[in-house]
Amino acid sequence: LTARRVFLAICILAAAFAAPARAQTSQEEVKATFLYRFASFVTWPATAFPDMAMPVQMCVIGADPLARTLTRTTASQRIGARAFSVRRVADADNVRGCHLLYVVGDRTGAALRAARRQGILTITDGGGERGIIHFAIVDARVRFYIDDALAAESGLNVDPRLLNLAISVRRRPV
Amino acid sequence: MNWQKVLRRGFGGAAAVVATALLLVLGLVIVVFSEAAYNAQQEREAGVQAQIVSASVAPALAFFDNESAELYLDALSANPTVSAAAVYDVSGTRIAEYTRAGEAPPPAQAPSSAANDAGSIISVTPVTMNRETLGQVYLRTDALTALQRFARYAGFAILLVLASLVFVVFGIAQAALKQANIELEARAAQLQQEIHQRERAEEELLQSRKMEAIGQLVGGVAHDFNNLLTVVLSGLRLMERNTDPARRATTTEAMRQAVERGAGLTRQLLAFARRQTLKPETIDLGARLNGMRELLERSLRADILVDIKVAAGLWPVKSDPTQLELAILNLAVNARDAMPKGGVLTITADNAESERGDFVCIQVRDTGFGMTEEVRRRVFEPYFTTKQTGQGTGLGLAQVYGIVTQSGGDVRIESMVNAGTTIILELPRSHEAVAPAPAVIEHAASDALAGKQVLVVEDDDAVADIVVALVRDARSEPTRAANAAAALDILSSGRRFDLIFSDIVMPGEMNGFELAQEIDRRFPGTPIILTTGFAGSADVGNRYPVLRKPYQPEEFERLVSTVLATPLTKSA
Repeated sequence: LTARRVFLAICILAAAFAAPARAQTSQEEVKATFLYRFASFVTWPATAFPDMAMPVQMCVIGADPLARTLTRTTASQRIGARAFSVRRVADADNVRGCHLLYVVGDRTGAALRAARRQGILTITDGGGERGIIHFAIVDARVRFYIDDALAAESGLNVDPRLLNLAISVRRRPV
Repeated sequence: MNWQKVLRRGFGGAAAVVATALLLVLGLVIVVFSEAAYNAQQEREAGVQAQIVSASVAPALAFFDNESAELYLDALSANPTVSAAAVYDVSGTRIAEYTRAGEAPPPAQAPSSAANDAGSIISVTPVTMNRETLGQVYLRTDALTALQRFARYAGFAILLVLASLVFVVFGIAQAALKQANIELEARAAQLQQEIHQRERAEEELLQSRKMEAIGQLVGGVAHDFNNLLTVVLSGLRLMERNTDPARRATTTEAMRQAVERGAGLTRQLLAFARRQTLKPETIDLGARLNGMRELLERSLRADILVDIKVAAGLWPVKSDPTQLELAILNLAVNARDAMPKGGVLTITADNAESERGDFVCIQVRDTGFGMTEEVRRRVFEPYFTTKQTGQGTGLGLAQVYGIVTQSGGDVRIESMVNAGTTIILELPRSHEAVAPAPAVIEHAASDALAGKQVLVVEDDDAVADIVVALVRDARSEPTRAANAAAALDILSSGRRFDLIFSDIVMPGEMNGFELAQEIDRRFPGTPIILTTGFAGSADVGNRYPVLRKPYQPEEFERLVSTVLATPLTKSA
């Protein structure tokens, strides 16, 4: 039943891509899908998951509508064996326990600093400071940059296939 | 030869056909299975390829990056067997495609199932991530073309064809061999039959020739005997009517000659029945030939001149003198018959030296009508004669051939039609001394039998009368027994005899030879002389003296005196 719902959502998304006129309205949904899917291409350090049953924790700062969409579309979705959980976070002090952190707005800098070297995949959007993944709109399509060096600092491994899809990649030091 | 026919006939051929068929079926089965396995493998490979593509394009699909998906598909150009590929999103819309130059593009909408079409293998694989279906990958790869397929199986096919060829050739060879065997057998059977037929024909021919020869012989013998019987009969009549001693002597001489000729004739017959063994002795041929002059002149006609030339110092030869004289006589008679209008008969004897040794060469030459090549080839065959029935026995030249070859010599004939014939006898030289001429003790024997008791065992009354007369003429006492049993009866009665003279061939349980052995056993020391006109058992002569019929009274007396003069060896 859940799979069907996701399928439906993706169908809707696809339909949105097929109709450029409605692209603007669906970019939030595309970003939500991306955020969920990034989790499949990242490997966290062993310390990030103290026990086997721990879900993959998605934290959102300053993007409540997206957080809601995300919560709705990914309910009871799983990343591998783990559940996928979405949590809205008020400020940078509460990023502990997050595996992914999507932050927009003026709290970005503080949040990034708080998340640094914490094994958290940070995702930013718009202008200003950038996280490990940074969304950008190119030719009316949602694209992203990847800072693999930053990911390395946090002990994260990004799937090269994902790197291939980035607009550009800051390589981690060899 | 038609090989199909050969195959049909031979078992080897049938076996080869079956083997070839089996091989082909096996090959076909292998090809079918191999092909199926290969196709399955191709499909598997295509499926794996599609899965690889699927895994590769999953992120692109996940992040709606059609360009990346396109790049992934373009990378497929490195694989020349991929003719088309496409990525469809979850709605079935094609978001990326790859088409090899000149190929049909992939379908615009995601196909519902992977239906292979001719010449290509199509794989459709879903793209999933975290159990979430993102879309589909369509991959079309080339199946093997006919040429590729052929190339793939060419080696195998060649091996198969070669193996089949080997079988076929082997089969044909086998079948041909079998065919040849059958033909050979048939031919052998035919040959066997022909041999049988030929043997039968030859047997029949031989039989008819034998009958012809016997007829010829009987005719000739009857003719000769009639002649001499006429002489004897008319001589007897003349003697009855004539008292003039001179004329009676002439008549007696003529009769004696006739009887001698008869004796010679029977001797000749016996010689040809191979019943008479030769009694070779070293002889002075010149003396013998000169001694024959009178006989020859008498035997031949008045219009034939006899010329005998014997070279001085002629070597002695070893042969049976009687037979050799008979041979010369036969040649002379033939010469006479070859010269119906008269002519010259020349007999020469010379020494001849050659690489084969020393020979005495006797040539008997006539001036008659000669003989053809065909006749010349056959003259030595027994019973062959050119004379009319009743005129010759066909044994003359055969006798010549027999005596000469048995004496280690050779006979040759030189003849030309109407130019005369020369018969050349070559007899090997003998280095032994010439035997002394017989008849030295001619009449010393006359008294040997005087007053002796002689038992004559003879079944034929006429012969017995003559023998009794001869014995009585020798002033001894003859007693006659008609057979072996009678003789033994007389001996058992206690009478003793100074000599027993017995015929060999007699009716009754015991013949003369057996009688002699019995007498030896029961009454040892009694001298025995055997006599026969049918010298079948020549070995008899080794143990007892044998007097061969017909014999002259002088011969009888000579042998009797010799036997009585010789002390018997009791060791036997």
